[in-house]
Amino acid sequence: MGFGMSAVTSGPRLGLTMMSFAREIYLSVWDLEESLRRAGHLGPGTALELTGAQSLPGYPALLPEVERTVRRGIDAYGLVPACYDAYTERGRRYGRTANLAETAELIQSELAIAHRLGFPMLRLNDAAPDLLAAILPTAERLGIRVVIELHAKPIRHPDSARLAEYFDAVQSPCLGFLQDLGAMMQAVPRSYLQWGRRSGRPAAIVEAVEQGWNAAVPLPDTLQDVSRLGGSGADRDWAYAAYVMFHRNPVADLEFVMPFLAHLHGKFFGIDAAGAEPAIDYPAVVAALRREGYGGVISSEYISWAPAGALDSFDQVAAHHRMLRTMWEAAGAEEPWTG
Amino acid sequence: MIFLLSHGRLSAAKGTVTLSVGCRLNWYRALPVSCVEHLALTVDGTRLIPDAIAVELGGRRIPAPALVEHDDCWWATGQVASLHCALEPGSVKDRYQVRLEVGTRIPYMAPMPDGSWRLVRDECTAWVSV
Repeated sequence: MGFGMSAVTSGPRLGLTMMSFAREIYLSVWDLEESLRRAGHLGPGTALELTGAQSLPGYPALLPEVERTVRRGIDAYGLVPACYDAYTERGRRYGRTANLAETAELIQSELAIAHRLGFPMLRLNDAAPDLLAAILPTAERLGIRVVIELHAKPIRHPDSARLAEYFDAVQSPCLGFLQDLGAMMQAVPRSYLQWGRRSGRPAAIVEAVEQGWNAAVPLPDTLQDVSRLGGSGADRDWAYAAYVMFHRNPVADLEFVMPFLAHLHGKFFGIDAAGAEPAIDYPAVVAALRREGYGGVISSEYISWAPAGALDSFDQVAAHHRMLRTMWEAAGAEEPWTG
Repeated sequence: MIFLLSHGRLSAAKGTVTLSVGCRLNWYRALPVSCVEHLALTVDGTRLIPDAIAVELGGRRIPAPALVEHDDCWWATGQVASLHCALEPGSVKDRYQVRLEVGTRIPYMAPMPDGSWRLVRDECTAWVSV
């Protein structure tokens, strides 16, 4: 894969979150400079999304040399800064949950970092209208759009509905949603199941969790099945994690998100030999985005449980981009009036 | 989480033998060490008392039970901290079987209804050569 494979020029811009390189970064195989260089190899105009707490040495401070590395990398590798990922962290202090003012102060610091690095968007994993009201003046002054990620709380969740009402009432160009496609899954990822087996979980338990989740069996029933099969506490934690990470919502929900949709996480867990991601109904997702005229960014976000000796993140993200381009073209062929 | 434990070394001073083991945080991004609510080591089958363990990170050395007091000290992504543990005198060997348990509060996951925070727990066992 070289620079010739550029991000699409019509339809969404393709990019990646640095979460995709989590294993290489965690193991110090790639530093910040190398991660940016690899991102650039996906093609000129690749949209860059990074998490300060993951990618920036010296975080929560933004060190001058780190700022220079990011800005130089963006220029040198033809990246387009798309989104800076921050978290609503109310639990940094032991035994004490941060209040609204303290949380807002933390987000203001993140907005300042995003601004210094040239990102036009800041993602929060969660926020309520009162927090957004507290930070909105700063976001508007800096020209940064604050987007709330819809993942564990899909658009139909009451908290998300309240946010949509707030967006509607405020009508600020600096607010919106980020839809993570991990909210719209149809199967437990194969790499998660393989990891379960590799970790020594009995085959019957792995199968019970796979079949339970895939058949929409409620979590308490699946946990009971795991216990009935002689599962340990760690086995139950593994089953629980599947239900916490993987969410099943209809792709049709995109229609409700679309009025406020600013950004997408193209979650995936491993592109197979056929060039597909079986855990998510991507053909339906891409067709819906094309039908709705989505022109924002799709940030590929690779989550892997592959063995540490099989670091394949770059190849996987490149394969995900190829899959998206193919599907976008196919969706257009089915709707010739869209051009 | 992969590769929590890394290299080790042994030192002796004033009659005390100290085993130092490299250790990464069991999370994919930086967190303040105040989030590390549980850290336990078992060396060659003997579980150490918490006060026998100190964490050295970025030039600071903090007793394991005091980590939760330090929200100003950050454990960076993939940063290898040194876990120093005092061993019984006379226990000098070429390698040790080390079992690590770590429980980390993820500060952006919402607290549970009772106000407590769920910990992400990991454990691993490795032979550490010195």
